[in-house]
Amino acid sequence: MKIGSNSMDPFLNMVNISKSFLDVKALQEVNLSINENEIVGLVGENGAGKSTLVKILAGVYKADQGKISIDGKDIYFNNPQDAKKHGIGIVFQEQSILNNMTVYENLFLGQEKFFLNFGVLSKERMLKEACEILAELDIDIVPTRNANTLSFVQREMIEIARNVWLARKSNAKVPIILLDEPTTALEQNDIKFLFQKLNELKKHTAIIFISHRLEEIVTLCDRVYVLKDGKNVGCFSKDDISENLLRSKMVGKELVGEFYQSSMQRKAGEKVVLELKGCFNKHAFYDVSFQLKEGEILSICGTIGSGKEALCKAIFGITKFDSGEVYIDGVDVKGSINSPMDAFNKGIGYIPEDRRNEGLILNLPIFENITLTVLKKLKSHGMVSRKKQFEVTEKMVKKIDIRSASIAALCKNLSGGNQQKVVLGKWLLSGNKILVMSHPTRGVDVGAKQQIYTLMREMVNDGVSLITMGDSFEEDIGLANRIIIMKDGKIMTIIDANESKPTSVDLIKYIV
Amino acid sequence: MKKIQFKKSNIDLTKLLPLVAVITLFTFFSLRNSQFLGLYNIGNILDFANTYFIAGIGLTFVILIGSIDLSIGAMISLDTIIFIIMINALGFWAYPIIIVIGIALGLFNGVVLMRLKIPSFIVTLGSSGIFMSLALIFSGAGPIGLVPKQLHTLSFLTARIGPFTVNHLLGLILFIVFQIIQNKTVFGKTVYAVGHSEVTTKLSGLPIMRTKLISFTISGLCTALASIVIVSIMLSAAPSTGPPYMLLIIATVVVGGTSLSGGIGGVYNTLLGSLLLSMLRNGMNVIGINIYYQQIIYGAIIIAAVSLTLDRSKIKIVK
Repeated sequence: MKIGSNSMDPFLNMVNISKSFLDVKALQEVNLSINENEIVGLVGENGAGKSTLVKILAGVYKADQGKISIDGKDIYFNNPQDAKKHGIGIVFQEQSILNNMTVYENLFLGQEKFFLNFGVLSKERMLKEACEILAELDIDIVPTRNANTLSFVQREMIEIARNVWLARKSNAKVPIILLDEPTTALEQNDIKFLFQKLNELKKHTAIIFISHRLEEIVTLCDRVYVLKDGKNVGCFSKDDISENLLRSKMVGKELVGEFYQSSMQRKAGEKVVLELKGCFNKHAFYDVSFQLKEGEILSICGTIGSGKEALCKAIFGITKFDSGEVYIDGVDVKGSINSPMDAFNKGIGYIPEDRRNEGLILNLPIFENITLTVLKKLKSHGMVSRKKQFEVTEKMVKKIDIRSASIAALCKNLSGGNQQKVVLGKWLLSGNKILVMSHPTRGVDVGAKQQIYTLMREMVNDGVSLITMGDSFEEDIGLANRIIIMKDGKIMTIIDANESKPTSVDLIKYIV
Repeated sequence: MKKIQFKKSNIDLTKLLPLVAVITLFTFFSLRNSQFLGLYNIGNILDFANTYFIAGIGLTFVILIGSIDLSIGAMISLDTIIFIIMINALGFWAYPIIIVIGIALGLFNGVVLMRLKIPSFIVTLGSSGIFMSLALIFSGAGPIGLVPKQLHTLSFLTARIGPFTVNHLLGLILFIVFQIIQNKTVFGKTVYAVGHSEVTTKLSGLPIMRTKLISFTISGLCTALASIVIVSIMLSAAPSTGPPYMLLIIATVVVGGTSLSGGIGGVYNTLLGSLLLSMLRNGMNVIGINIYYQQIIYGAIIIAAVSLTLDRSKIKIVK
């Protein structure tokens, strides 16, 4: 221990960290600390701010407020390189191992300057150091192997070794390793292997571990921080952690109710508008069967990797069903939907998650965006009539309350909520009766959220049927007539929410 | 209904700037040299601009969807050779034949692009080789001249009324027709949508592939029409006819303000681009800039024009 540093201070300390993206507050005064020989868990729902916090620590983002100290000294990062100099390394969800290189080249990627002899790379020294670090961490991989022959967990080990080595090279006292959902793509055996390695590794490092699988957190971590809506809602030590406790903290107070306009909810019709029977996609989901009734809101819940995104894309023809039967209004359409255009012509619509790049054409005005789905209907004498474009747009803008000085304003200048209303307006105009909505309220403020919920209720009243993937369990529960729960590509259960609403805990039970 | 107010910020610089440039150049050269405004010289400027404009219309649509057609030079060689062979043999029948062939060549590019899903840059670079070989084979690798007795099938195109010819009338008609196609049809709207965001357009249920196919077909058609104009002026054709046109046709489109990243610009811009380049070339000749130096000017303004119009947010890595 250095003279002058208080032995009670944690080794790494993040205090009052805040971060906003445009008008979205991703983090508000969040604290996190970690000591040597410790594995700290970080949990929260999607959008709770886990990844943002970790990226600030890794120097990818800059915090708007707050300070970070290591070993009692305040530090400032301008970029990931600065963080690396202090021994902080991150293993991202999307891996950074290059397939066309060997293990040792990957280990020292970007750090070749340590191995130069008069400007020429010394392979010998690289191999020597690679062997040393791999042996020290007890990783059994030959350094000259090609990275494309490695398994997923082996790649993660290489990334961890890279970070430990670099921390040493930078004379950092304790390497700090950040793992962002490292188990998402792993099999049970590999997870066991990884945990065993992490437990060995913590003898000379500090580890921050993010996962949405609570049982992993409970088995592995010494302490756990829970984030919700960008705020700390608790920090628990190993003896106090239980899955139930974490769950209730993650979800927070139940606020199902009028926010989601539940009083407007109506019973779905009897007619089945869409039916899937035994649908299968070899990369994403298996044996999916369900019915969508006329005027129904059907939510699909599940974590990333549960197959729900792929399923929704397949319904709109973006990806495909490898086998299974699809019926629209009782007619078999399997085989005739091969593209979004086919799905569109069968009366399906799709509201993508990435509104700015996939939902809108930002550089075109509102009226061009909103009429994209109905250009053919606005023809007079074979030409698209601008007058009709203006007319239908004006009507829609009034109906769904899009706030803009003019319908000729470019979509890139609208707020998130208004942008999403343009997307919804586009599909309302189309007259398509089945709409698949991927995170319809992502990144819009609370007021606009409620307007969008109201709009969804009105659409349903007009006989449109909705399949939605919400941003939170509360949203799914609040909106839906029925909730499909998916895990690992299968439908676990379908919960009826017509009579009484389930709680978030009821859903998580099936997911985790 | 409320009148739509276009605010000042909505004035489109890509439409205004080329116009300002055209007027500036025109004024500059008129003041520098009294010959510039002569009837003969104006006719010359229009001839040159007209050829590049007609070929450039097709390329405009291709560039608007974010693609590129590098086979236009080779297509001109092939089209002009087939056209002159057909005139010599069949007279007026050559016109419908060459239009069908032009459409077929463009369709070929489009179908390859659609089926193989490889970048248009590669598709048209490859097809350019194919078309060039065909041009060499059909021509016997040398120039072919018009047989004198068929002169009348072509000469009406270049008959002058003042500085104007029938060719210029063709350019004017094409301008009006394609201006309407671009702004008023579902196809035209889709072209702009694809150019701005292909994903959004696809997810809005619009036909992406058909739009691309039609764009390349228009490119083939316009190249054939330009080839007719070229032959009517030169009264001969050779495999080496086409390639020199390629660079300047691309220049015509981008100097007019059509963005290589797609979605911005249009036929009107290409018209201005063709006038701009034509006056520049002619003006440089008239005030006596050595032809060796002129290529430097063209190269520099292509780079400048593209750097002004490119939407860099769409390009993640510059290759």
